[in-house]
Amino acid sequence: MSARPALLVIEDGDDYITFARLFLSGRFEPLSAKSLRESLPQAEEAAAILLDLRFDLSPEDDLIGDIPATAARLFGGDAARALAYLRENQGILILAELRKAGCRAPALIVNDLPPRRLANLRSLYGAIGAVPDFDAAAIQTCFDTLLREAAS
Amino acid sequence: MSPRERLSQLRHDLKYVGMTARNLSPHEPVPAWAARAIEKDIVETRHGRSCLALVEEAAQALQGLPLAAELRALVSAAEALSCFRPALARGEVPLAEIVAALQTLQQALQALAQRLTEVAP
Repeated sequence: MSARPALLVIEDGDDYITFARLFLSGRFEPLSAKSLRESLPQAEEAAAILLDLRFDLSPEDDLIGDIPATAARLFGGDAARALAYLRENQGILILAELRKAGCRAPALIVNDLPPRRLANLRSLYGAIGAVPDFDAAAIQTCFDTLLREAAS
Repeated sequence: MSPRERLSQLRHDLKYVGMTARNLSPHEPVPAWAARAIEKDIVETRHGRSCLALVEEAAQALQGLPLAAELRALVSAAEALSCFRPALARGEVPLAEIVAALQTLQQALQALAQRLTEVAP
């Protein structure tokens, strides 16, 4: 077993995992997942999560979310807009399912999220942080804070 | 896609541009693997398209709005970044210049985002 805590990297492409292997592997053992299906089996061992929000590159079958229901609820039945919405929010949808499955690992999003949206996400899904860019030092600092908060 | 959604997607795609270069120390020798990684960050980026191609596509989509100056600055910044491609292909990494070009790109993107909130709130 690795001495480093596991960092579950969830994204549609390979940019986050490449970044994690290059710049975060001194601190974490990066694990890769490209969907909820791939995330669930690894969630239990994850000490932290690095989460993409948009899943533009994923095959539709890999996405979670109900397109017809979303279309009816938010877009007047427009399935294309519903699919775009699900892609745009796929990371949060995956995190919601991981929380339902009992995963409490702090999650970090690389996005310039408005403070109100971040506060709302934290109220819904617990320990979540955000940094605007792929800045390894800022990401490590944010993870340190989240993990400290989670331990206290 | 609305202008705001278009900008959101562009900001998302450009987040990956230059992420290797931005995390290397300017005070240490550039590791051997970095030239290819930086080239990929700038030339291929997401979807296999260059930073310049992503920016030009977004500029085309937003050209109906009064954003000409901001879009011109953004395209110009992306063009400047693309000029490093030959050097990177040769394995040369002018790191300080690349980081400066990335900062210019970021500033141009922020200026565009700010202006967009004014013309399409």
